[in-house]
Amino acid sequence: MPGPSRLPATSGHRAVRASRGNIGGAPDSGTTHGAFLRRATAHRGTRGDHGPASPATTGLVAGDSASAAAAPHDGGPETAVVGSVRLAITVAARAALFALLGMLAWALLPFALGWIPTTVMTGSMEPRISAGDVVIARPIAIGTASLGHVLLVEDPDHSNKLRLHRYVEDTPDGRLILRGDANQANDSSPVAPEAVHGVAVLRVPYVGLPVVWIAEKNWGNLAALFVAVSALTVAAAAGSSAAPRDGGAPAQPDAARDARQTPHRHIPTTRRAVRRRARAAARRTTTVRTLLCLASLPVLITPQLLMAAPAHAAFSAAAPTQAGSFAASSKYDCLSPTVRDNPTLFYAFNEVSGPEAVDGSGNKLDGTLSGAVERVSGSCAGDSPALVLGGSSGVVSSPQLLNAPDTFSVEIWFRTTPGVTAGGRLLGFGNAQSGLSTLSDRHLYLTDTGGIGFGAATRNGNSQQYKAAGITSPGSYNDGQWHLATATMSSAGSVLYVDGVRVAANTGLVAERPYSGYWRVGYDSMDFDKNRDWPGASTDSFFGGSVDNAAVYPVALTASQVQAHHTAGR
Amino acid sequence: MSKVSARTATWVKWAAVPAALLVSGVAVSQASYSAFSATSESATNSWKSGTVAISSSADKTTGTATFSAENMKPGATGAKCITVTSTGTLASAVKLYATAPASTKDLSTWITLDITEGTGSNSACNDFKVLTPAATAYSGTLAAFGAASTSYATGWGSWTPTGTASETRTYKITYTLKSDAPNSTQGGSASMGFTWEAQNS
Repeated sequence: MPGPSRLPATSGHRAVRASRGNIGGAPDSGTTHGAFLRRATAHRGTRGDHGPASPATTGLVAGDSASAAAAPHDGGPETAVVGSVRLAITVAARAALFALLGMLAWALLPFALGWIPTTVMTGSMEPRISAGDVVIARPIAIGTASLGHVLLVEDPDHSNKLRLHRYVEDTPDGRLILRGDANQANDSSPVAPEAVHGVAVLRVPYVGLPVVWIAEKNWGNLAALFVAVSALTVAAAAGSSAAPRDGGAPAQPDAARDARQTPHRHIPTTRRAVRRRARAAARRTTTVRTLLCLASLPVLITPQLLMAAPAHAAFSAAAPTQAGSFAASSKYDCLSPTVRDNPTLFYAFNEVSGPEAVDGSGNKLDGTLSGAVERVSGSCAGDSPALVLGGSSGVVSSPQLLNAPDTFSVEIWFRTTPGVTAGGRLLGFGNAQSGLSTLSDRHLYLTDTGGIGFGAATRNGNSQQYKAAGITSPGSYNDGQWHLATATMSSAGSVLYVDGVRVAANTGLVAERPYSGYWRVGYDSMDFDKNRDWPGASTDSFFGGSVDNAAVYPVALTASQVQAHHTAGR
Repeated sequence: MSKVSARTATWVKWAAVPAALLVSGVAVSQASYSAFSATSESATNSWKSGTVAISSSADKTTGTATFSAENMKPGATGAKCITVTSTGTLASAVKLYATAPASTKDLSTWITLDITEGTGSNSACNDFKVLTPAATAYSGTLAAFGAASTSYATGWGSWTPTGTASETRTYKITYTLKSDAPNSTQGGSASMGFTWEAQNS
């Protein structure tokens, strides 16, 4: 029917002109136009009720802009209404989708404020916070966190991870102790105040679940989510495209316009063909929308992955034991040197502390430390404990007055302080327990050149006068090493040993001056009747160095005994 | 089928959008409120997302001390085997660390600890067998262990239970008072708690 469809427009105008020309009057153009419209409408009516609706009708049915594009073609009475069930589905789908989008927005928009979105990966904060939640933490100034708040911190137990736990306690040194609500104990590792990234302020439930699923490789859940979102998208999209399709599809007006513009090609188009084209076009539109929406799914998840750093942190459970206890023996047997040859007194200096030098001889002549004396600890395997006599009046004195013996041996381990060569008194007898004695002899001393001297007061001829007499070693021992000095005295004379080896002897050197006094280790007078008459007498009256195992024997030790003492060591 | 006018339908369809956004906002605020305003609840370990659980044969609650070494002299040594059981449902990593180390007379610096992972159930280590291949053993002083391993982060151990079933591992802890322990340690004492902690990995 090509003729009628085109004819009204041209013939109508012509008719106007014709009427003007023919009738000569002033015809009501509105009437003419109205007649054309009526005719046109009537004509369209012959093509069915899918044609363009009259402008008036269109405006009434679909006044909002959203449907304006489709509205002019949204004609007939049947299409002006929508099935309520379908509408409900569409609305529900839209609501669900936009609620989802809203949640995502909540999860991500705070990022713009500098807040920190975090995907919770584990359930250690259940029931308050579950795996899959996104928690937004607001950065706070260092040290301003409050107890009870949920903090996002650098995981102290796993580098480059974040932990979201509740702040429950402080350590004495100002660090924070956190705890997962679902854990039975506080986190064992405290957190430095600087490691706090923020305090949790927003919790967006569920939106981080895809991230958790990806981490868990839970592809099934991800696929289900994908399908669900696809279905929602299709449902929501179907709602907006369904009406035009139902009422003639968006493609229809194009077809109609084409029909007007190129009548010769499209006028023959059948109603079925138009519908088919319309349906195809609608399908294409829906498909494209769906694909776009599906493509947007990863776009929705990706920011979560990129921006909402996952907070691990973890369940923890601890199995503490009762404290194990260890107690050392109060006395290590190995530290008690074997006491040989029944000494009068034997100071091993193995005590840990205190002013007492325990007598190892069994004679209970425990000595007393005074002055500049320092203990040096030692062990069984290493260096034996020893005594350091400072460079002044350090002395160890025996406890009670004894008569000066005529037959005896004195023995002491000594070591000069490295770098110090000055001599001094090592061990001897004196009549004062402290301070300087006015009478002193029977002593071992270190000369200023490093030799060992041994002196005793002997009778000066047959007189009642005494003189200082002594023997010295030829060698030098102020070398910072431990050495054993031993001297024996009897009526047969004196023998001096160093390191178990006899180095000097004098049969005429006998101790003859009787007086009462004390055995003294270290500091005492090196004068004899106000003169330094001892051979090689040191300038100082004190020995500055280490001493150990000081012993006095009531007999003159034999060479082999002295040798054995040296071999046994300290 | 009941019908709704197209205009109403369109209005409803678009009204769903702000409503949905509003709902999401309410959901978020409610979720936040319950998450952050309430105080911590007493813990249970029954949450559906799984958990970790661990116990040892020398648990604090059972009342036996790990070690009770008295009258130690230089060279004195002893060993104790402690079996640790993981019953969690999550894969985890177990670390051993010290709690409340204490020492007088510096004794703890003269006691060495050697810790080896293996199997066996006898607390005196009669049936202890090291792992094959052997995991790295700890060897150092009691003081060093107490100073270095104070928390999970600094804990020691290589055990990673899978969480699929109950697993056990035995830790053999050998202690020795060094033979060169000085006289200054005589009468000294030392104590330390051992804690095994599991965290899900």
